[in-house]
Amino acid sequence: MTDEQRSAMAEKLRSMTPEQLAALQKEQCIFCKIVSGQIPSKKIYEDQIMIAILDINPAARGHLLLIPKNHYMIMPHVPDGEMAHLFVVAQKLSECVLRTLKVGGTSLFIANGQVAGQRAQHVILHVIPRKEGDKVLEFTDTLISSEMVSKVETAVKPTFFKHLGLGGDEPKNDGGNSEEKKDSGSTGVVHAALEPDAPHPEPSAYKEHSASGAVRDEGVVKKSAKKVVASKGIPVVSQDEKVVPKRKDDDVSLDDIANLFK
Amino acid sequence: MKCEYCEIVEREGKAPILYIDEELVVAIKDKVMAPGQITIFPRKHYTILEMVPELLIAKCSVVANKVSMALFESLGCQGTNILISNGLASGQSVPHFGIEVIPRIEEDKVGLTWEGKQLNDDEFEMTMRALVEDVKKAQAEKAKKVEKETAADAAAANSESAVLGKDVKVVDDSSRKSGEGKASGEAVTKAKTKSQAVPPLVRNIRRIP
Repeated sequence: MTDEQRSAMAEKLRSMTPEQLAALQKEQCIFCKIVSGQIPSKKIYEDQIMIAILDINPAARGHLLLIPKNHYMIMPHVPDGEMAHLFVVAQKLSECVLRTLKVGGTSLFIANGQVAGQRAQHVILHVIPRKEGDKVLEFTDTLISSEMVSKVETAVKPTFFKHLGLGGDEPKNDGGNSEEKKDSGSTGVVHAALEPDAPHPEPSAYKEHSASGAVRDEGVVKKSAKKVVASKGIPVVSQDEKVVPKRKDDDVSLDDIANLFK
Repeated sequence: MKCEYCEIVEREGKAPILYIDEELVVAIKDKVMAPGQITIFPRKHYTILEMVPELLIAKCSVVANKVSMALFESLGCQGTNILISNGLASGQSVPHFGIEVIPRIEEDKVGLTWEGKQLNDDEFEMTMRALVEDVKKAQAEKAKKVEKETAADAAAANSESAVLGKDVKVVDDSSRKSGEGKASGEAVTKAKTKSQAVPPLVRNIRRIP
């Protein structure tokens, strides 16, 4: 992409509202097209929240991709209820894989961010059948010093507690059935997502993320989600579907769009 | 010999605990792929993924997402990986189910990749058919189990008082979104009594949507 094209694209994107950007992303997203059936796929499971398909370029035979039907580009965007649902279904599908393919293990994997190996602009949970010596998801462990461990603890603890909605060091034992999505005790954050009366997720009109990053849904802490997104330069998106002006320049890929905001 | 994670729970292990409650533990490991790696695991000992109750998996995954967000903000990493190694073949090194959250930065040499393979159409067809069949079987079994439990609980509810602080398990299969009943269809109602210590993260969890 030439510099001229890039700046023209940047200008175009800057003039779009968050809603228009979101709709554009969704329109360009291969996985949203797979979900809607526009692109064929080898589906082995579907419910109202997600689908599971066979990866056409798998790490091993039986490699499954679990895809939320709603468009989420990165993991922090995924509401707690859907996250939980993805993992519970992943557990069941892992069992199916173990039974059917008679393998010795499975790996459940999410790549969040390009440096972590995320290639798609849509959150995907991988369920990969594993055999010993298969050279898949290889890693090496190293021992870090206790000093380093303490540094991590000091750095991470306050932010983590903030995300859990905890004030002090110990988890609060706050009461009740609160469906308040704001910073409540640890009970509020996680269990609100699992309340029976929590809004039933409908793919087309699910959560509304306003431009200011306020999230009206299950337990995702508003400010931190926005902060994460803003620091990565990715615009906070809305689920509203509005008409998106057709782009004339079809040489631009979604990667280019994401890169512009870095 | 005790399991490493169980030792952490009993505060015998060296790993510092970021968060602990009656159901799960969030700890910082020292044997890691990258500094800042955090592990989330159930307090109770479950060896592999398949043994863990659905509600617990749900909670661990939600907490893992929050850990990931915290790592972004506090460590300034550019990405994270969520990894569950399930079974020896996957490289599971601790015989206790856990979710790893690994902070990633550019050119960190962590690895965690794979080479995509090209399979022919027949292999795909075979795999798909086998999996679809197994999924349907699992769903049917779940539906039967749910039916049985509903009948049993209805009978039990008639003969026992629900007020006496007893946990009543009511399985609600009609609550399934598309009637496929794959994920948990259990509704757990805990009777509230003052004498019952209701641990955090558990109170009023009734159903995973």
